[in-house]
Amino acid sequence: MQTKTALVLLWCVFLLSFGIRLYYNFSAGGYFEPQAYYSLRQVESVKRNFVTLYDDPLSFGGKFMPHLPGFYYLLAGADMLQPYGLIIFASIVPALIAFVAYFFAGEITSNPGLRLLAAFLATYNPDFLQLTTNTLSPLMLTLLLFFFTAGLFLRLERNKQLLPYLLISSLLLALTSLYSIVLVAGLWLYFGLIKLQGLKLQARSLEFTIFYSIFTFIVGYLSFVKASMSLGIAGLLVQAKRGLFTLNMVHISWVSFFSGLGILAVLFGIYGLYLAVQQDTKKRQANFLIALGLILLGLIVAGFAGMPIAFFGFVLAMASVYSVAAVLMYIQRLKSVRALLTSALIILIVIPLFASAINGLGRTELARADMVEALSFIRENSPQDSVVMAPLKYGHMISYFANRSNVADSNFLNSGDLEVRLNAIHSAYTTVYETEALSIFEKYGVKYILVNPEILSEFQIPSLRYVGDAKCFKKVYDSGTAIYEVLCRLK
Amino acid sequence: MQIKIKSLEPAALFLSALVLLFAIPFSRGLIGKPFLYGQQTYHSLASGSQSFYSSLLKLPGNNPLMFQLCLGLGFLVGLYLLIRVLSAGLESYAVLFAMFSPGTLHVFSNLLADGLALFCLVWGIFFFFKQRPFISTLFLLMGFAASPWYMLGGLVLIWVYFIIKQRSLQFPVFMSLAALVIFLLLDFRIEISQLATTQVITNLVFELGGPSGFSLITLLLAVIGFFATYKAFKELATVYVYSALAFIGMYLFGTSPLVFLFIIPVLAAYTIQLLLKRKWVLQSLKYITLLLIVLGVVLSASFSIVWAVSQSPDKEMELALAELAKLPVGNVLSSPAYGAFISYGAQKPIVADSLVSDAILLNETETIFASRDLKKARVFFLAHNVSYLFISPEMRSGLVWNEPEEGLLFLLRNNQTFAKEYTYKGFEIWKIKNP
Repeated sequence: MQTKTALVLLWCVFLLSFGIRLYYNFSAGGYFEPQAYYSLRQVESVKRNFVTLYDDPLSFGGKFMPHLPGFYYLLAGADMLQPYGLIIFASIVPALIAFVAYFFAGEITSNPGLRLLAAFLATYNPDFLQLTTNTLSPLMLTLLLFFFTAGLFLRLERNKQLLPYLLISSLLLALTSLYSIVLVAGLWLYFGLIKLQGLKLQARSLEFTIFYSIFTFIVGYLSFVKASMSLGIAGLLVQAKRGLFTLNMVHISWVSFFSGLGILAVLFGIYGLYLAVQQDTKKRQANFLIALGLILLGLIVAGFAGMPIAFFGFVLAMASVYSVAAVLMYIQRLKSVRALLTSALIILIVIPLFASAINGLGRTELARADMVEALSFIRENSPQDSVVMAPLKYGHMISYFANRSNVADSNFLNSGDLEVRLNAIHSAYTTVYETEALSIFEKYGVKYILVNPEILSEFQIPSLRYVGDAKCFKKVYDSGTAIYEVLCRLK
Repeated sequence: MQIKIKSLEPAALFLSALVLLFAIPFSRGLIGKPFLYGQQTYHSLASGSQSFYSSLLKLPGNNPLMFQLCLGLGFLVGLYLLIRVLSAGLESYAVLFAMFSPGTLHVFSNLLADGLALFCLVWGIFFFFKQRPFISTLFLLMGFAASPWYMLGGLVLIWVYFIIKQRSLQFPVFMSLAALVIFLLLDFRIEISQLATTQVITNLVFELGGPSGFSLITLLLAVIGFFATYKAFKELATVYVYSALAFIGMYLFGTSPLVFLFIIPVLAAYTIQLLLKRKWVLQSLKYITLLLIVLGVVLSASFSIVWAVSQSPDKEMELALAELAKLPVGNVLSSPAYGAFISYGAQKPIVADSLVSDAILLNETETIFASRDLKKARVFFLAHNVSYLFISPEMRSGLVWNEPEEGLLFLLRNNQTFAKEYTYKGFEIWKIKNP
């Protein structure tokens, strides 16, 4: 395939991905998945005060919230382009992965067709597509910057002029996500592999890695030192574990692993990594890919599913270049059916992956319109210091739409009594005893409880059993989502 | 010009050390807090404490804080001279890492026996290498008297050094016997605590909550320095053995990470020397990297100063304790974390002190704080002859209770048992009537 043709097709891959995302983002009617409202609160904070929100008075009833601010500043910039700035940003940024993948694959192969295939596999990775549609998660930018930085790093060995771009990209990554630490770990493992094979270390790469390790460390340090000093290592580990369990991110099954990445893409990717080890160990690119793959696989095995799987999907997409090249080389020998088999192979890889990716879309649970209306009602009709109780996933929505405190949300770090709060929420919805519910509401100062069919089905209850007592509970709003006001205090 | 700058280096280091060591008491004084902070400090000052170090503090005319700050300056000067003797070229960087280390700032702005032990050990080893056995022995024995852990550390260093150098073992044997005599005379006790790995890491790293720990950046550089010195492992055998035993000590006996204050700054300094010596292709990155390292070290020192300034006691607690001191004699029930503050500040016996009380009593105290059973509380008050209850805002907001009427707080409304004697800015003193 000619480079020009490949580039035209690459634009098609990008535009199609952009179009799909745009369609799903617009068809959601301006709503995102519930966690996206945390990003929107950060955007509001940047727009109002030029700084992101560290001391959040609404999260968990008020707490210090360590985070990396880079993504939220970019998002705030995009939000300036009203009315569709955010939606366009959320659609275009993850779609740019096509160009990043094409660029990265250029370090592995000079064949434009194979580079294009790698770009397609990375762009339509079902997990990545699903995780980055109808959301405003920093993941979309993280993955992009991670592999763009990685690709620039590989090129730096040949081209010193790329250093400024590498610095900008890597610094943005360090300011966006802690995945910069994964990249640093991957870089050092890469040097280890290079050293083990007796290959010469490139001075430029080593110097950049030393600098970047220290920079990442300092950025992480500044962002998280307050939390780590108060929690200690045991506290941090406990909270990370609790957070993972709560988000059902641990114990990923092989079925979901394969289906999330596309079965054929996984098979070609793993075979590609095998070929890279077998045939290409003398090449730095193969070692780099293996180093990143090993680190990401380690994270997945340790229970960090979700993001690492999407990252691993990208590595597999790049590694599949090796295996597809090997299969194509074999097909070249079969002169009579060469064209047919090549087409069949491409179709076999492309169509199921695309179908699986599209099939995964539309499953993202979006913010409910009636919930948003109910929260807007609370915003307009309740005292400023009210606390609203709802399941964990609605925590950020309460803060964003109602501008009131929640009992818990998905920002687990620095929330010392997370487990107690989650149990309290569960008990408040499932208990049959009014006194138990009241003692929970009193403990957390809860003024309003949200109930809708989704919440009832989550807790497997027909209704809140204790709200019949009109002295203590008053239904103040009901339109799909009902709001009960708590009137009593335990004496 | 270079010679002049070089000759100014020790003076600049001394001045920096002076500024840094005075930063914590100065900042505390500036916002009206007592210069001294932390339980251990007040425990050293309290009348009950009879250790060798406490006795030194209570010498007539001695200003404890100045004494400790001088120990700090002396330690850093000693470390500078010692490293210059052992490994010329590293001393300035190593002393900079040591003086910016949160552990150093903590130990020398607090009245901790570790400060005296470190001072004595560093000078003892320095005079040992300077072939002054008499002065060396004097310092080492004084260090031994200050803390058994440094005693063991010093002995390990001496034994391993003499064995590796294949010298006569008269000196180590003499020192060991002297240490044993001191150990028995001063009635030191060694308790096995068997800490978990996470606790050891927490103690070692300041940013994870260990006030006597090292900053993460220094540790990171020290780890790199450790691996970079692998070629000289024979010459550094003494250091390795000492480090290994120090780690075991941290695990088994909860030894302070300050025992590494001789090693970690030197290894970190070695890494800096490597970075400086390396011919960088990307020259601009070299300076940015070094700048970032400096930033990291300075930041961690700043955080440790901020942390120390925020520690108890504060002005309000001092006032409340002075008020408590005016009341008739009687035992005080409060959070065990305030044991030393109350013993020293109010000159009154306390029911439980987290530094000296046994686990059973601490548990019993915790249970009574959580209980709403008046009868049970009265039995406890009678058993421990409790006359006063001392409550702080910190106790109400997480240290003991989380809710306004939780546990014992609920019982305070019973005016037949409790009478409020004092309240100011959240500090409360309650008298127990007829316990």
